[in-house]
Amino acid sequence: MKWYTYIICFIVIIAGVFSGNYAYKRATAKSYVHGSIDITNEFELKAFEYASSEVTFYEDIYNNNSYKFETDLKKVTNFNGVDKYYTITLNEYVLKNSVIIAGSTFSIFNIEFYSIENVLECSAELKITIKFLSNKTTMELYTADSIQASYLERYFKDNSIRLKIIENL
Amino acid sequence: MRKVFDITILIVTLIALVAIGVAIYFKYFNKNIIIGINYVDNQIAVDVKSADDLTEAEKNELEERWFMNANYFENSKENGIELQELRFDYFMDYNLTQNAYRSTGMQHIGELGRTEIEKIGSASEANEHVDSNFYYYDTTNGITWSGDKLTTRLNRNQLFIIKIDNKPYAIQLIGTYKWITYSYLWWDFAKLVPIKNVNILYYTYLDVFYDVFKAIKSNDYGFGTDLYITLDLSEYFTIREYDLEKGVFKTDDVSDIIKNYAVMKFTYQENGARQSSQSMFNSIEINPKWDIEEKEPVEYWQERVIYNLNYEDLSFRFSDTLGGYFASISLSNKNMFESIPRAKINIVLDLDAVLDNKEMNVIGLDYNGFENFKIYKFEIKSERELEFTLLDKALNNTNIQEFIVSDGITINDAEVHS
Repeated sequence: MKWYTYIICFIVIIAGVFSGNYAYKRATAKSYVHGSIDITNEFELKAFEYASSEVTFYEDIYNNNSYKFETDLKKVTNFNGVDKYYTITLNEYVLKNSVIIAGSTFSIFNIEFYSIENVLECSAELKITIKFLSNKTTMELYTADSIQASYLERYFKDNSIRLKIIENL
Repeated sequence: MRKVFDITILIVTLIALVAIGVAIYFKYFNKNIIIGINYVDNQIAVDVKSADDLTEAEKNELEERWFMNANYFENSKENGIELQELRFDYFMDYNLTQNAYRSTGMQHIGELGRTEIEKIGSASEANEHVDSNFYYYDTTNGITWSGDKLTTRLNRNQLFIIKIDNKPYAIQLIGTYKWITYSYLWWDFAKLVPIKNVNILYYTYLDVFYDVFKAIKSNDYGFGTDLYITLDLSEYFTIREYDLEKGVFKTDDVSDIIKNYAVMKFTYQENGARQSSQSMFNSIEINPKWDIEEKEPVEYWQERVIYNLNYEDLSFRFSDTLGGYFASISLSNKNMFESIPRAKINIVLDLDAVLDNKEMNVIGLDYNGFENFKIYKFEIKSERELEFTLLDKALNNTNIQEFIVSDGITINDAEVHS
């Protein structure tokens, strides 16, 4: 062989080594999934549950001097207020006498706050409305004035909020 | 001898040609896409504290720790300030223990614009770069945050160790953006000899931050709490698996064809932020008492939750001897309230309503009917003239503060009046 043939062969062999390495990786590579979460299910819940370490009330511009907190939550797939019975709890408290209709619930949470002298400082009423819509769930917390809102914010900051709707089986 | 060598060379060359051909096939003709998906979630330390040792707020905080968490108050209702927060939950070493747990986050007041991101073309400068227009926070327990503008270095030198399927992986921001421009020498008026220039910019956490919030704003779910999206981070991060046998992180030698995805948990609200408690760091502008309005701090000693019970919460027993029904607290309610602390219970027993709706003539409270059941106020009402009997220990150890009866009702019991 001529001298330049060796050079060509040498270049081809070097290129072949890199190409072979690339081809081997591609031929043996496999798709993989680490973890087990199904992201599609993360947009739906089977039962309603809301938890947060705080609640901030906003002045309701359409309802003078009242305060509310509203948020959109994930869709709940199998809520049925017609055929099923539910218990609603806020933290460790059962919300008795809640009004539950086909796709919505309404509850009232009454709470009193006492000073260190055991004097009643504030009596607050929190109205809770949860609506189960086809694409999402909406939750609204409503209270009548800024004083009640401040005490409720303090209470939820100290105790967090855990609102659950549990089906009675 | 020479001939054997030449033949060997030719055979090896032929094999090399075949390898080149196969590589060309995979490169240009094989359309199979090979993708790895890393759901980087649940960054909880393997020896995290017992649930019994945590408060409810701490349990909520530790329930899920995703590698990336974002919090966005868009303030489209103009009732607060626009606030963007991004947090990374990770470990400081591969043991994935609580001691190595850490979260580091960055906070921006207002919306970060593309023009605010400093373009950095020097690797050394980029590696150390921390933007001073952000507030930075970090925590070693996931509960209490410390923050200062520059104490926590969220830059390209930062190596995160994350948990995927209970195994440690290292993730680091190393991405660059390259583009090519052409220039010409001064004498090349005709622009005949272009000179190729490779320009390079080094991504910083501001680029990641900008892309995260662009993705949140464009998510098709809209506003919501605790939502999730997947982000293609392969442009920014490299990810390497830890080799347990050798004690080193493997080289990420497949990042050109395997993209790394991570699931990000986020909250997106149209409200504005009004107080520091809304921040994922419990602080705004490094101020844990930040509030949009000056408010008197609200403090109290104890709270009591009010329950107003009526006849539907009671049980009734018919007495043949006395010819009427006797009321008592239902067992289910008694059991339920035993587990509820600080409940303040008021009971209204409307005798006329029971008669009208249940056709029961209630004439008293049953033996031990409310014994040991703490009641604040008990009201018995009726518009009729009648006698009402409290049987033995009906209200024993109830600590009633107010006992109210309608004018026409006569109570037959020494215990109540004493």
